[in-house]
Amino acid sequence: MDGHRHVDAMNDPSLDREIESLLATEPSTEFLARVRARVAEEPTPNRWRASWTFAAATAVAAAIVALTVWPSSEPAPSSSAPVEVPRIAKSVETITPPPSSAAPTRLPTERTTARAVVVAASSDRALEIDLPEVVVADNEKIAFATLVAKIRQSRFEPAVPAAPDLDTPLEIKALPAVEPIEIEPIVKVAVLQTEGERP
Amino acid sequence: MHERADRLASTFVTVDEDLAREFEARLVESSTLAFRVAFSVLRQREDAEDVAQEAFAKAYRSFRQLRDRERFRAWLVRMTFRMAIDRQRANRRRFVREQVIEIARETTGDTVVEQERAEQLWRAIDALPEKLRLTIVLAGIQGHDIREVATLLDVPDGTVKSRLFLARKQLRERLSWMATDTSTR
Repeated sequence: MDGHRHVDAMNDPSLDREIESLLATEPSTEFLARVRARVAEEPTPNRWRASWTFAAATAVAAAIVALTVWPSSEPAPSSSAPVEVPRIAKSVETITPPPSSAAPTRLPTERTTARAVVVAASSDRALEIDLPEVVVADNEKIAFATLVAKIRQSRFEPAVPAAPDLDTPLEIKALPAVEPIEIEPIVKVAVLQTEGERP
Repeated sequence: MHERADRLASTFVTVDEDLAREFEARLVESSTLAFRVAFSVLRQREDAEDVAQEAFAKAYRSFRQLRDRERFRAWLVRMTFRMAIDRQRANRRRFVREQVIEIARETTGDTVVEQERAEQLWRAIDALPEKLRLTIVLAGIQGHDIREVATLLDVPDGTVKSRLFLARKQLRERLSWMATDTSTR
């Protein structure tokens, strides 16, 4: 009952005072020393953390700059600088030409991917570019291989024939005589017409 | 070259020393605040000290970002309160009711009626929503005024006023109900 009266009579200041008295508890005398000891166990936060953060940020920035600048860092072609010659480095197997006497054998169809390799004359860097697939017909391969083989064996005359002289009159040879052709009538048709079997 | 390196190293040492000095100052001025915030939740001296200690250890790890005095205190209060709530939840699993009575006796140390009254008030504070609870506790610690509580909670003064109003109202209602319940028993 006493407690009830106490609550009824309670206003804000008295409630606040009560709460204050509840919270007016002091920590033990060793508390500060314990906190200091606990903090001393922690690794020094400032320097190594900052350095790691700095190092990570630097690495990321360097990567971004490298990626951004990379294409423009290629040396610009100048008149004095050696010209980069694109070289088609193709992984072509050595094709042996078929013996000239034998009939041309059918090679299995081969699909190769040509790859252009640009080699900078001034540096060792090679830039590889994938090109679209090139399909070469078998007969063309054989013909090319034969041609190369003949050139190597000096059995092929690569000299270009002389162009015709426009001033000399064109000589037309006489055409051979054509014998007259005799066409015989179709017998069956004539027979059918005479018999009146037409519908 | 060596001179420059020495100068750089000495700069770091100076920075470290400055930080250590600053942290020590914050520790001295805020230790009781952190302890009382933890105590308001746990009402157990050892637990409250443990929680406050851990909060200071955490604060030390992030002290570069917390060098500003007000920011440090606000962060410390919120962190301590949060950690104390977590500890309380863990303790509830192995809760011993007698401890509360014992601590209430230790806190007030007076008559049985007063002990009972203190226990009722603690229960009423516990039943408040967390925001109201922390606000009324901070207002009750070291005579903080509304402006100081607002700074610690990082909210406008008006919010603190309305929270205090609501908290007091709910406390009065709950205490009245408890007193009625006790008198009818």
